[in-house]
Amino acid sequence: MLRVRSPRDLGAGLVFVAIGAAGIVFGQGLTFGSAARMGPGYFPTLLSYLIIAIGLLLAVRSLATDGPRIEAVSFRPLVAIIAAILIFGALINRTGLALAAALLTIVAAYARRDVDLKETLLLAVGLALFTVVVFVYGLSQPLPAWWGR
Amino acid sequence: MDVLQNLATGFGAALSLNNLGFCLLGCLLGTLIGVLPGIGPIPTIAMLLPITFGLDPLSSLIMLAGIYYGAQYGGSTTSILVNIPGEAASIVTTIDGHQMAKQGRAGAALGVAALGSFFAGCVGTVFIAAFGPPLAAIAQEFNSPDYFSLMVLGLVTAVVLAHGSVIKAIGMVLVGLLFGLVGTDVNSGVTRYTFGVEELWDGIDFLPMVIGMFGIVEIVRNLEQPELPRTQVSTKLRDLWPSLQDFKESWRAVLRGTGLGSLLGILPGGGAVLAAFASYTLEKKVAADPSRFGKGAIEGVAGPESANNAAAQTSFIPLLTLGLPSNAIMALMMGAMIIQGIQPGSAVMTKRPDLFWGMVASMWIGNLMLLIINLPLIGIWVKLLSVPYRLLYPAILLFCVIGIYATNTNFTQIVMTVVFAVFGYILVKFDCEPAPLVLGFILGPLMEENLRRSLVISRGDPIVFLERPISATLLALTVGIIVLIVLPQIRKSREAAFQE
Repeated sequence: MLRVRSPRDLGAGLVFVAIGAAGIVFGQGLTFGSAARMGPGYFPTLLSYLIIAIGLLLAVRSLATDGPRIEAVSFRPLVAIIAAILIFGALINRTGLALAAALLTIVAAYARRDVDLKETLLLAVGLALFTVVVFVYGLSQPLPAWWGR
Repeated sequence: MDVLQNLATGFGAALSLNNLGFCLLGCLLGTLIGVLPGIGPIPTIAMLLPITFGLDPLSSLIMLAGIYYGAQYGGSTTSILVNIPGEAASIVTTIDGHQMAKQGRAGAALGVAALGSFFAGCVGTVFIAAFGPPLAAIAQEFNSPDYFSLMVLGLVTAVVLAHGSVIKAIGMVLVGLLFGLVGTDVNSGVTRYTFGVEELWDGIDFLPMVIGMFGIVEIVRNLEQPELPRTQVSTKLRDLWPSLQDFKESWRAVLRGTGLGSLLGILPGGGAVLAAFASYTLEKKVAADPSRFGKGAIEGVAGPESANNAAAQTSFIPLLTLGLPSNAIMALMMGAMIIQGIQPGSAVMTKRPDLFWGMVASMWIGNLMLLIINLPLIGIWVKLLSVPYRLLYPAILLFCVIGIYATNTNFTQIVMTVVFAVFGYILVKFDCEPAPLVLGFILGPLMEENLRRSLVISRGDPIVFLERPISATLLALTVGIIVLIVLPQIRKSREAAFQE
């Protein structure tokens, strides 16, 4: 009976096999050529096969040697941080840097439990002002400060 | 003397008011992020890349280099006083440094760390000045097959010296190489793996990838773990100067650490982190009484702290002379140079001597600045440590995102960052370090081009890699290294070195 003894190795192996397979499937339309006249598909296809080989090696090893369990994923920080980034990206051109920065700070703060709302709001205002002064006025980065373009 | 004349040019360039300012800025930022746990030099340099667009190439390289070696100084402060490494290269310093602080010798530990770092930094700078030109001269002889073999050697060494599993690191390098090929193929004009996304025609953007995989993943990982209680040792830092006895006990360790660090820095795949670990192991081996280690042995601070700073300096050698980045930070520096329109390699030294020598000179100036920043001003840095992570990470996140958006005011960049953050997070859960991937990514197009050219010359016969003496030597070295890691005994000692 096959038993996965090293789940982290199996996970990594499967990721590699998937990337290698994608490299081959999506590279099918590229001319392979020959060694003397390498086409655009030559090197990527070669790499993809090597990646699959490494992936399979890891998968086989995961059945043979013991390894630590995969750490549990804590969704709260992951989701909050990603949401904060996306909100910033969606808002910056509409509302300007100040508001986008403040919202990013507030959403990101909820990546932790027991948020102190007052402290978070103060931090949001502080960071918004700081980034506008430093990045827009100080470093003249191409960002709208107060309103969208 | 040629070197002296070159150094004079370098100091002339580095001592301009503008460049002195950027050197100081880099050193201050480096110390800051070195002191603060939870943010290292890789995301900081990535974050600052967009700002360097508008700068003159020399100024931006001076600043970015300052961040890297500045972080080595700052990292020791946190390790010694709070028992949390401020930076990966200072992990070993916590072992004996914090014990010293508990015994009321924090001043001596900090003083020895800073003075050792300064000495090592000076020696490292001399190393670059001495070994840079001859290596660049050798590199002039390099042809496509030699470059290809050099990259193979560099990537293999990087993999062997990386943390964790060698097989996974190889996989990550290969994935990085593949990612590097995304976009328009220069030879045929065909777009590869763009999936109809116009933004991918020029390839995967470096910044969203690096910030996603290092910066964002780092924040999420820190938030996952419960915040460590910071047991700060409140010492009077009045007498920072180590006693004569401290000097007597540590000068040999400083010398050994500097030598070891300088050598390990040059190796592809080496760098500050590896140097610090190796130096600690060495100090323990040569000590008359190894049982003192872990209980506040001053050599355990002096050696690794010198080694990490020496290595931080000398790891610039392969980048500046061969155009080959030896670790993820150097890959970022290479990215910064390419952004500025400079192809790193031996040509830099002949075409832009002011750039090479200016950087060398700025490193020495920077080390002097760091000594001043770190010794008398240490109280300020220690105060910064009382800023809790819950106030810090939103600011770090914000700077990361602004950096990405300011480079290319496009929502796609933000989405790419999120994609790479999730990808990097999954890989970290499976114990795959992202650093080898970045190295592969930078080298992907170069490697393909040199492979293509080599095989065109030889009409498809791979024997060309063995016929040229330089290439054959490099490949022989590569095989030698692979044989070494296959030998189980060596593998064991490598693991032991990383575990300590």
